[in-house]
Amino acid sequence: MRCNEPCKMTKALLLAAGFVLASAQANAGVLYGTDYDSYNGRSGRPSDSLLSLGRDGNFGAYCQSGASSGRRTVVYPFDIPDQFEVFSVRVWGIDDSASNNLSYELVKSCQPFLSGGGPVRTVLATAASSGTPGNFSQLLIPAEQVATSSTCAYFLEARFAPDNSACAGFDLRSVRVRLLSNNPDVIFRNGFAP
Amino acid sequence: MNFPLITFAVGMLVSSHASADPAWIQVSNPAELAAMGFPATAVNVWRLPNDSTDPGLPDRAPLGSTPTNASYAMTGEDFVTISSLSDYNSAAYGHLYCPTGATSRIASASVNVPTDRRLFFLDMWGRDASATQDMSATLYATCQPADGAGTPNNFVLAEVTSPAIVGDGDFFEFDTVSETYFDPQRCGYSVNLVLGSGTCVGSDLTLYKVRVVIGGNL
Amino acid sequence: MGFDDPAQLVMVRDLPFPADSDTRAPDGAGLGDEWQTRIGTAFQGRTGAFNFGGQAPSIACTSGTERFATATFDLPAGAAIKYVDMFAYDNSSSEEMLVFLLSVCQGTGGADPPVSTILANSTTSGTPGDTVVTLNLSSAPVIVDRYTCRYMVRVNMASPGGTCVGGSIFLDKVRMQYTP
Repeated sequence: MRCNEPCKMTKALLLAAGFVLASAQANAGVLYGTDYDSYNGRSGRPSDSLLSLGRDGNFGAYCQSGASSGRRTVVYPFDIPDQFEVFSVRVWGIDDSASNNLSYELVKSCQPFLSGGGPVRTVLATAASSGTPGNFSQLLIPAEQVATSSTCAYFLEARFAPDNSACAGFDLRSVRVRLLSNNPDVIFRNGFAP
Repeated sequence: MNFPLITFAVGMLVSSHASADPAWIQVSNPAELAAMGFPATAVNVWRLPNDSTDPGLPDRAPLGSTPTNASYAMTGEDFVTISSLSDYNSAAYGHLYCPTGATSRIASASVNVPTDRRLFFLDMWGRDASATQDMSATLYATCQPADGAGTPNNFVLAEVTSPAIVGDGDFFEFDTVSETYFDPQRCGYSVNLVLGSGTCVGSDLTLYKVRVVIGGNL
Repeated sequence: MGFDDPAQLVMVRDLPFPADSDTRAPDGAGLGDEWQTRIGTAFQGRTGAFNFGGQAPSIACTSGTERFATATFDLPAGAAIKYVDMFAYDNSSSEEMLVFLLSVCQGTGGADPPVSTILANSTTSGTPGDTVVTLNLSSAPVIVDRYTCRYMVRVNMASPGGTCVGGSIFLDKVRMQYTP
């Protein structure tokens, strides 16, 4: 049987799918305390109600052209228990835009424990899609890894364009975000806790 | 559809997985794809058929008791509309509907589940007082290579649809699921909510809650 | 509280008087306590008419009269919710920000609508500037039944006047302190 280009693509997709499904039970990351949290792209929260976000066929988000003004940022809040180690954040997306890239910042925002005080933002890691068209994936590795969740919150910002600037529409999509963290105390929690 | 190719691919899936696992079926009906919120031409949507004879399923008979199974629940506040500018209403805590006359009736929520847990049930509570339209919730896995770029594939893991009107329309429905395990390293999980098939009918189609019931404790 | 149906049944928890001031510390004061936080940006408007803006983690209600926003919490089964702290900025002379902790529960198999229970509520004071508002449940913590219930916090960003005041009121985050 000859396999033309669409046929090859379909075959590759299905083989990849087979790999995914076959691997579903082989991942024993939790054994070592590692924890994967995946978020679909559209689950990100716009930082501004003026931002016009759309959803693609993979639950990914894109910034729809025509939005008038404001920030072009979606925010993915993370649940990271206190003292967990933040190993990395991996992002997946599609960048077919010649004008815009999708840029990411992993942010820590801290306030006093029990008194008023404005949030202090610290950027822990950055990444961006490149000019190469098509699917992309990037890894953000924070400079500081142990979470202090009693005073700080953690989130990823994905920026489709500079503030008040034109978005690239469907050509620039945030498909998925995955947080990899580690419970350093997992042996004691699982084996010796009362 | 290229049947020999699909047969080959499905064979790959089955042979590379536990032999008892069912085959995945491609969703290729344009109307069905569009109804779920995908492009009508999508080629990366797959369905896991139900296998109600699976002996591994826990007994769902004592529905009134609190089971030991872990769960992840989503209420109206967890869902985002397909477009961020679409109108919605979640004024009553937990409830979600699209206002009468609105045209955007699809929303989704991320499902946060631990690695390697087995999926047992997809539960949905809501109100369907519409004589002409139904609401549905579908659990998807969207999978990519674990550590690099790649085209996503979407797998339908479970589906629940509201029943015919009973009384004031309040309902509870659930779907039993063939053996499948969560793998958040490679896949993101989402519930896609579809509130009817035409223009919105307001609170006649209201979501109360969707819950994923999984193995183990949480 | 932001319910829009006057016929809806709403329960109110009969909360005992708060315990004497507890020792609270970022390390849990040796009690093994943990935290879960929802930043302001994670709060979703009650309806699509909620106008908001700001730089994460903070949001302000920028215009209009739709002033309610809600975030759900995802706590482990059996966790004891002891405190809910809302971090905010309130420099408005006319409006305060209210905060409500609610549970929304439904029994498996039952088709009845969910039962909403107000577990605690409070408000910012008239003192201008950055502030923390605490809901103290430590004398009778709420025990999480995650199989049956969902727990959420809703804020009203313009009370009592009902019109948003823009950058005069910001919601920074809401943090729960719980014993697993």
